[in-house]
Amino acid sequence: MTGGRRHSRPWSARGILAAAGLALAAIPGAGAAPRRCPLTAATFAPLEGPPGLALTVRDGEQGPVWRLAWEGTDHTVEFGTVSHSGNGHTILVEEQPESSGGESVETRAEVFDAGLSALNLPRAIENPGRRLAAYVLLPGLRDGLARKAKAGPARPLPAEGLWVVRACAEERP
Amino acid sequence: MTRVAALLAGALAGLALAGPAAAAPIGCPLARAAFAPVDGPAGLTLQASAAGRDVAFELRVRGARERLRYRLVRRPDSALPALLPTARDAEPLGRAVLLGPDLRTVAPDQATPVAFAFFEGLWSHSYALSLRDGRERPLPPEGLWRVAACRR
Repeated sequence: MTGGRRHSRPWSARGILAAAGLALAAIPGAGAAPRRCPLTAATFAPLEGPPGLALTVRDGEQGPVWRLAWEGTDHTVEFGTVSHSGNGHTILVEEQPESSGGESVETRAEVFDAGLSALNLPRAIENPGRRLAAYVLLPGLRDGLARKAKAGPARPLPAEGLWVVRACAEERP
Repeated sequence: MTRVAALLAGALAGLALAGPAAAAPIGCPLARAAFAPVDGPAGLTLQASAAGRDVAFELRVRGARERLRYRLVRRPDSALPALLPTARDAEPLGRAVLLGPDLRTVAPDQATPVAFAFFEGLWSHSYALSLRDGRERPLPPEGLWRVAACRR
């Protein structure tokens, strides 16, 4: 071995802390904690885009109403919440599908807190301040919207992954 | 202990105390991952393995011999894959969503690093099996599963 050049300069404290900071920032919930909000005050955006999509949840007469809006347009799709009494699963069902081109869009909805623990939706609605929503997963939404898009004008479709809280209308007591 | 080491130790301790939201998700190649439900119950494991070019899953219950076997298949109507029970004539379950350590969706390939997974229909499939054969089983939750171990 000829002995290559040896790096005698040790890592500086600033360098090590910067590296640690970068490592922490790469961890969801560590570097940038997810935003949390009572479910029916939250507006979500798809983590993987595209930008310009907003899913707003508000109280309705028969449970939460979820309004998906394409910002900059007047196009929205509204969903009602149906909870399956047997297994507790929650389904979002498009309301008035005929107004937006026929077939109704349906998807399972799973809401998670900042630790990715599932929120029981009926309980979260009854007691919105108790556990706050941070993420929602809607695995059938993109496919449902894509089917509908075939019959109507093309609009950007949300990615399949998690939605994150983008805005919170109110902090409830 | 140097000042830098003390600072780093403090930062790591703070991270450990910050709770589950701050716990670093483990990324593991999909075909080597063992998943456990984020919300329990304890004792349930979904072990992935390579099966030819595909990824197979085995649902194991601690203390029970029975193992429910599935294969991850592509759905014709979706970009998301689905679990297909290996029993003959079985229908694919609902959509499966695989998330990497950064919580973004990842492709269902054997080498893809995953950290979390969601399997629509797993609960219903186990429940339907129990109704059919009259055997009680702990039902897998339909929330997220996290990587709990990564096989070498």
